[in-house]
Amino acid sequence: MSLNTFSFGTLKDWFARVWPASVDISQTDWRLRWPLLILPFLLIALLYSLFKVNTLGAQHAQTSMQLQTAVESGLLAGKALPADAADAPFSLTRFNSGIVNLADNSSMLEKWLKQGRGTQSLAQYAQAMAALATKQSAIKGVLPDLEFWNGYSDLLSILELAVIDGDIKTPEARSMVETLRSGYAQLRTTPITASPVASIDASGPANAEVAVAKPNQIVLLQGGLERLREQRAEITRIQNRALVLAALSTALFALLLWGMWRSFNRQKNASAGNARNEQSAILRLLDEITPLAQGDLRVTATVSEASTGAVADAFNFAVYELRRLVRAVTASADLVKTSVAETRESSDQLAKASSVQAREIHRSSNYLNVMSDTMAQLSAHAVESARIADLSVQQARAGNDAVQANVDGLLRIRDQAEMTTRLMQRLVETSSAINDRVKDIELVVKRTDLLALNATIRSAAQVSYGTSANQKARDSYGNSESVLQLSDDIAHLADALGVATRDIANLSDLIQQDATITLKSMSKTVSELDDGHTTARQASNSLHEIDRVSNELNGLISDIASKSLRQAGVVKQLSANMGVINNITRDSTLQLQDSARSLEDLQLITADLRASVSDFKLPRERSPGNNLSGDNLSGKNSTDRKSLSGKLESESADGSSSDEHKKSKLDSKVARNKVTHA
Amino acid sequence: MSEFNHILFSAGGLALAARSASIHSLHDGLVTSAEPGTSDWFSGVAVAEGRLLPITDLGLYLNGGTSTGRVIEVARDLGIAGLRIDEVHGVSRNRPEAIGPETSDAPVNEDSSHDGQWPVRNTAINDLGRRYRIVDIAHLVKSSRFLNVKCEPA
Repeated sequence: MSLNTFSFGTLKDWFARVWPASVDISQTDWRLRWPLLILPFLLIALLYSLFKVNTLGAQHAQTSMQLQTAVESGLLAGKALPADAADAPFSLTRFNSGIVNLADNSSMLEKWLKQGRGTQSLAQYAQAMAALATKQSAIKGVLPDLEFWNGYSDLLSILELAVIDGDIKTPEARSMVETLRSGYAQLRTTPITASPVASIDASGPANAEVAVAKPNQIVLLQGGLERLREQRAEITRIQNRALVLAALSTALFALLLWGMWRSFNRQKNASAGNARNEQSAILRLLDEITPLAQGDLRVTATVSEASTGAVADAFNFAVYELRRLVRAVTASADLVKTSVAETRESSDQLAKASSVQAREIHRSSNYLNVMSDTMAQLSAHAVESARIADLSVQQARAGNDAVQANVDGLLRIRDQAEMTTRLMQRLVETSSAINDRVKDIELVVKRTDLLALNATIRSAAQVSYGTSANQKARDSYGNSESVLQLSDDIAHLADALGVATRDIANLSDLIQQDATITLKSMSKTVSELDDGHTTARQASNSLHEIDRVSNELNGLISDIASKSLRQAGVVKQLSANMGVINNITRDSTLQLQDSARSLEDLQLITADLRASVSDFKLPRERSPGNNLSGDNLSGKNSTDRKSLSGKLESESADGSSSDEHKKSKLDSKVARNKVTHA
Repeated sequence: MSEFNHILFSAGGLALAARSASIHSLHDGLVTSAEPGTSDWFSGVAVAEGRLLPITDLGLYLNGGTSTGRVIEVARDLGIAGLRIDEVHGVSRNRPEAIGPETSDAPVNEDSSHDGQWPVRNTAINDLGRRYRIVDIAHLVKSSRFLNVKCEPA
């Protein structure tokens, strides 16, 4: 197989040939799976260890070569110094001096930081730096390792951060940190290529360097050998670890192979037993379904993982359906039987009720005849009431006419009273005019009286003067006798006029008083006449209302009479119809008896149907109250309609639409039986 | 016709009589104009038959009540004066009779304000059972108190 023809499919085919096809890793024991998970990590660790050993071996070889070169160079240096030793740019002595400077500067910085405000915590870093540098300076002739450089650089970086953050504020300290960083960088970047022999003391004379060259060479050789030993020990340690990992990987791989082999054997044994299992399953299925031939529906085939499992499942389903069908037929037969019995009972009751109904109809017909006679009497009474109401209307009209005549008379009386009142009023006015004339007469009387008095006075004066000598005065008053006579006559006249005037005034007052009283009386009479007129008008209105109501009553009574007559005819017709209904009821009774006989036949048919399914045996139901729970259906008379309905409901829960149809039919039958009972 | 001819009248509740010769006439309905600064018994002046006539309330003047009736015009030869009375009762020709002090009516008796010029005499006319004290009108109209109508402070 060349590389060109090699492909992944080929590899797969080869692996398939090598690896057992029936071995499935997923079927192995779970306890064998963890080596499969750990094994890749062990192999990775093993490869890493081998790589490390290889690297360390290369370094060890290189160090050996260097040491060999150095030993050879040292042997040559015993004769003459190398040419470049005197020109070394930087000797180890000066390097150590730089380390000492770092230690001194670090100590000084530590002191400054301890004295500074808020920088005491930073002093420990400076102290650590000083300790590192002091430690390194104490080791003569050995270059600082990476731990020193990194440790010192980290501490110095902390102090530089403090400078950047402003925690270190004094310019001397800041300058010292910069000095330390520059010194560190110089020492870190300076190559130490000088010969150890020449680097003992750069300031000393060349002879002195030569004198100490051998011990320093020995020290370097010792260091190189030490490094070789350390590398050798490291290589050995890693090799041991790789051996352990290889052993573990081998053990795990062996364990994995063992598990796979074991699973393969198990599957091989299982395939060999399948044939035996199939045969036994077929025999067991035959044994289980044999009782079905005798009508035993209680059988149930065992469903297993064998090939007969599906057949057993189908057989169980068929038996279940057959069981449900037999139960439904049985339940329906019982239900029909019960319904027939109830219907028969209802028919009997209905026949009895029809007899009672016929008797009651006959009695009702008699009542209707009596009612018809009563209606006829009521009609006659209504006619009489209408006649009386008519008479009442006539009397109300006569009363209304009389009241109207009374009202007219009152109106005439009122007119006469008003005329009398007007006359009396005119009389009062005339009396007032008489009074005015009387007042005029009184005035005349008064003046006449005054005139008479003056005449009397003058006559008296004349008499008085007559006795005197004053003739002129006597002439001025005239004849005393005549004047006196005149005055007497005037006085008498005035007296008579006064008396007449007083009499007239008294009479006038009397007339006026009488007229006033009469006027008041007439006013009262007129008022009473008005009241009487109002009352008479109200009576007339009431009589009008009585007339109207009587007319309405007359119409209603006439209507009642006519309707009573019609109702009497209707009752007669109803009585005749009741006789017809009685005959129909009698015929219905006979038909009901025929129906009862038909129901007996139907009950016999139902018993035959029940007997036809009685040979089937059904399993016992889980529900303790189920009447179909017996082994044999014969003799199980279920009369509990609720239990039957419950059974049908439980069967309909399996999703069969035919069961729902049966249930609806059962409900309709129950409803019909209830109506029949009602 | 005798000289005992008297006019009977009442003034301020007093029944009085006066000789007919001392009276000129009776007036009715005279309108009197009151004069300020005069006595309360002086009613004022009125016009009677075209002549100015001073009117005196005779009832108040004789310490009686106020008179509201006719006016007696005094005979013109006695003077120009009018006396307001209440009512004229008539003419009597009876003879005057003297009356004693014990029978005189108190309001008609003289008081100190008249200074001996009281016009009512102690004679009276009895007519129809009633007694009328005689007033001397001539003496009245000549008395100084009657002529002085000026209001005097009390």
